[in-house]
Amino acid sequence: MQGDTTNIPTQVVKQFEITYTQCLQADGTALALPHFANPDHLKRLYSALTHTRLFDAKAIALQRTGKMGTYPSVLGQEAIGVGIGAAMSPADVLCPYYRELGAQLWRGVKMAEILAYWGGDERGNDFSATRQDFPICVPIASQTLHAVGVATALQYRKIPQAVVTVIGDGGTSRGDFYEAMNLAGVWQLPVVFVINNNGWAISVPSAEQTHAETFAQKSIAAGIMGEQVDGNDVIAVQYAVERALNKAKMGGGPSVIEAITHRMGDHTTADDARRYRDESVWKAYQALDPILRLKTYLVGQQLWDEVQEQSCKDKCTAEIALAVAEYESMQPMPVSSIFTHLYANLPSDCQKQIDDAVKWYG
Amino acid sequence: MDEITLIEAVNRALAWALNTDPDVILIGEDIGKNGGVFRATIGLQERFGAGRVRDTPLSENLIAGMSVGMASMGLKPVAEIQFMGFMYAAFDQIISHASRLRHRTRGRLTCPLVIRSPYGAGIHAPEHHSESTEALFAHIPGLRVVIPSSPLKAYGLLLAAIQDKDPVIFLEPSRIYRLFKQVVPDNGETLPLDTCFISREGKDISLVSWGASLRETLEAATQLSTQGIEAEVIDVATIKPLDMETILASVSKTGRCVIVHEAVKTLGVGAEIAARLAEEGLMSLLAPIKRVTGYDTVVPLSRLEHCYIPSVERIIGAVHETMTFS
Amino acid sequence: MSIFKLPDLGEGLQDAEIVHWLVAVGDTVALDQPLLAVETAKAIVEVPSPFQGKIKQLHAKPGEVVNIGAALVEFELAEDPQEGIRDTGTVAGAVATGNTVVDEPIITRQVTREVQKNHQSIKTTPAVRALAQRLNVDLSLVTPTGPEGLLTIKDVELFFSASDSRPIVTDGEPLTGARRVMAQALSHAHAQVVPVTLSEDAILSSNRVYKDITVDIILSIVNACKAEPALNAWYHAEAGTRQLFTELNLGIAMDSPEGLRVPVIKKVNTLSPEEIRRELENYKKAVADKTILPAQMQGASFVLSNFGKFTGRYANPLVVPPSVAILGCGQLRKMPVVKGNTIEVGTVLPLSLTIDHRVITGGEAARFLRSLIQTLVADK
Repeated sequence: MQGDTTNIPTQVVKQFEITYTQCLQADGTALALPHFANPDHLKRLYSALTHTRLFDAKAIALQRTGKMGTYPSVLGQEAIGVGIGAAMSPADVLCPYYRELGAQLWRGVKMAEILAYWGGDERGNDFSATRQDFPICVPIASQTLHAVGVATALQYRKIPQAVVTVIGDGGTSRGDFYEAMNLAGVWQLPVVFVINNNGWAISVPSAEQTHAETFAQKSIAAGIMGEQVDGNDVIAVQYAVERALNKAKMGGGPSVIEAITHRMGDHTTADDARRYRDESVWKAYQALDPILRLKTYLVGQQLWDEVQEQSCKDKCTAEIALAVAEYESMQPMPVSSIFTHLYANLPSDCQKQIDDAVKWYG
Repeated sequence: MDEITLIEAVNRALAWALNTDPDVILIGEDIGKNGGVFRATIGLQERFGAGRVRDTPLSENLIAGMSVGMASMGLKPVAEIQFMGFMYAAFDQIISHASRLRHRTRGRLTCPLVIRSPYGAGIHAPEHHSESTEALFAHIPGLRVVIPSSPLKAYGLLLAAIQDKDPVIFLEPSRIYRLFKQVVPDNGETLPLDTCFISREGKDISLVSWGASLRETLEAATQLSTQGIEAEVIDVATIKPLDMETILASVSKTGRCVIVHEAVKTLGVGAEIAARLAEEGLMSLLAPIKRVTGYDTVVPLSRLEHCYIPSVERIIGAVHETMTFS
Repeated sequence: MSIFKLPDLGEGLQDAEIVHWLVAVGDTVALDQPLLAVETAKAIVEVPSPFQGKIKQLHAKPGEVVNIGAALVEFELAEDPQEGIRDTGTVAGAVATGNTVVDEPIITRQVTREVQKNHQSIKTTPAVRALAQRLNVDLSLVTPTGPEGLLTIKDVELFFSASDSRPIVTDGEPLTGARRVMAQALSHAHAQVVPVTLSEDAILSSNRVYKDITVDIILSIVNACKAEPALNAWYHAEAGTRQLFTELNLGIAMDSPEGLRVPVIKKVNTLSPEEIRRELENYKKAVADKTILPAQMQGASFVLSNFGKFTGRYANPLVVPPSVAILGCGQLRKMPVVKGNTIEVGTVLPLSLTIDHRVITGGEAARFLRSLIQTLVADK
């Protein structure tokens, strides 16, 4: 209707807004703290962040020394995982993608299991704790559909627990994400979608994933409330996820939380971010480091000092060393194991192939 | 005990499962009030409630993916995909997750789900409604692909599929949904999976088929019998995993084999059966293995679809060719 | 509601032009009442109404060219049933419905049968079968030498070159009648019986006139059976039983163009020499005339094969179950024989006795033969 200047009156039928939550600023000053932010808990969060970072560094070292396969670092994003882990109760279910190391460790997944998985051994997914949690999900965004299925089961069985699923900013470009949110909205499922917006989908910056100003607003199309939190602020992450979980468990339905963080490392150990990302970006990310700001706050509150810091790191390092030893002493499964959990009862059709595999590799 | 069609047998098997196992939940598009696009679930929501028989939003990918999540929690989702041509949207979830969840978690999480879908040509439907691409699923380790050929098989095999501890793709030949009837005792009894059925015994040639094509294959066998050729007809029923032992035993008896399927020829399940016969049953063969299949082209729209589905005449022709080798 | 489409007017035309309508919307028309005139390439024809009812709509105007099969007229039929909401049972297409009730056996391998083998007892590859077909070699006659009984190309080639060097008089022909019975019976005998053949010469008495040597031999058999009844018997291997007889039913092997015939002289032990000779003559004639009856060739408890009337000295005649022994007589001949410490010319009958060692001991066989010879060579 180019050139048509007729003034047709319209009316606003619905308005939406996206909120942003931050408890601890980048310089370590607190804006407002939730009820759980007592000294012991904050120290526990800090230890978990430290533990996650040290373990992450060790995993990269193992890969770089040929002792483990490709591994996706969580450097700089530890607060999202740890915040989620701290917010969940043990009976909740986690459907992660692959940067929820902090959440998995908090929930009791053994370090040796994580190393085993990235080291090429399926037993790493047979978590000794959190038996209902899904293993990390490689096909992008597909885990969100598992999450709504799990939530359907919880709702059907009237179990007062909820599901957390995490997706990267790139993952929100896939239909799965919308399809999952849409069902969660229609059925008011007890599920929390956390978008780990680390700014990058491998080499493509988030501005090229969507024209939407926020990822959180993608939830509006599914009739779900979406919000942003500072993903480098572990307190804010825990606060938002905990609140969403409580709402879900009370029958209040799903939530979408966009946690804004920065991928300080490469996509994986097989990636080199310098190919597509300017060094200056990395320097800017360092100033926003989630661990540094909590330490600044704790030290400022005289809750933490270098002695505690060293003792915390020593403890983590020792535990990690034990886990690495356990991983390295793990004997590979026999070749026949490649068939053992294919079906509950192995079809007789497979037996000849097992015999062949055993003959050549047994 | 009354006589019922294949679609009614599906309905009764679903009702039996809903009635006897509270973990069984039906999900799909239009399966509630409307009773499914072919009425497979008719009356079930009324009887078992909207919590057990659930209309989902219109997304096959969602249906498959949420089934994986539900199954991991011990539920037994029985999902309906309206037509096989719409199942490709669910491929990622079926292949990347359903088929391998047990394996990748070393048995910690399992995936006891059933995805039902009508399939095949012959109902004069619009585009994308006549697919028989069962081989795509038969290619995937960790899946079962089960195809009934009659009301009796539909009832017994569907219940077995629901009770199975692993994901089952259950493909219902829509062409024979209402084509004929059988007496099907509604007693919850299952038929074995992973097993071929011998639909007719014979000594001269083995005809191997499944699904709707079994009707033409049996008719061909009847006509061949009047010509003095006694064909053994094998209903493969579970095309993944394959019960090659039954097929090999039959061919070792007859020395000849014609495979009949509606799906395209190249890399169809018939190719696998022929390859396995060559690997393990070559010494028994008196003649080349022949395949009578859909042609290697897009399944035609309704005007020409009858030229695509293997006919009785094509089957008999292939048998005659095979019998010329002595 | 019914729609009338322009029919093929029988001239192989694709279309026709509407000339004019003979009816209008709202008209009630009778069956076969002319509806309109159309012009084809050849003529103007009037098209009659296929229905009785009211015209609801006309789909073409005069001057229009209408394709064969296109809608022409819409009728509201007198007895048009009001269609309600009918469930087609599908959302796309049309699912054929039927009421045929089909019986179906539910058979799986596990509950049905063992694998039966017939021709597949020959283990070989299609290439070998093709070669055999080309060379006209019956694979069942070829001995396999490959691993695990595999019949190889080499086996067929070897068999072919061996058989090829033999002159072939006739093409392969199926065995029939007596020859087929002979083949089957002797194959069976060969597969079952454990034969032992004992040979000895009977030096006939110079003090006796042998008027009918065959009858003399038969009488000697009768005597020997009394001395050693184990040889006048039947052995039923499947049942594991042995039947001894007091009467002797003697089978006499007779050659014929059709094959071996073995007529049986029943209760030969009760007959006089003259009666025996008469029986022999009757049977010879019956065999020559092909009038011998199957019943006359059944029930032998001992068999005599007098091949010596043609030629031959010793043999290993075959025992045919259920009988357990057979005597073969060679050609009677003059030979130097030792009498006391001198050599004389004597008349010698070479004898070969085959027994089924499964039921007859070597001692029984030897004693039988000794007794037989003693009777045969006695001075009388």
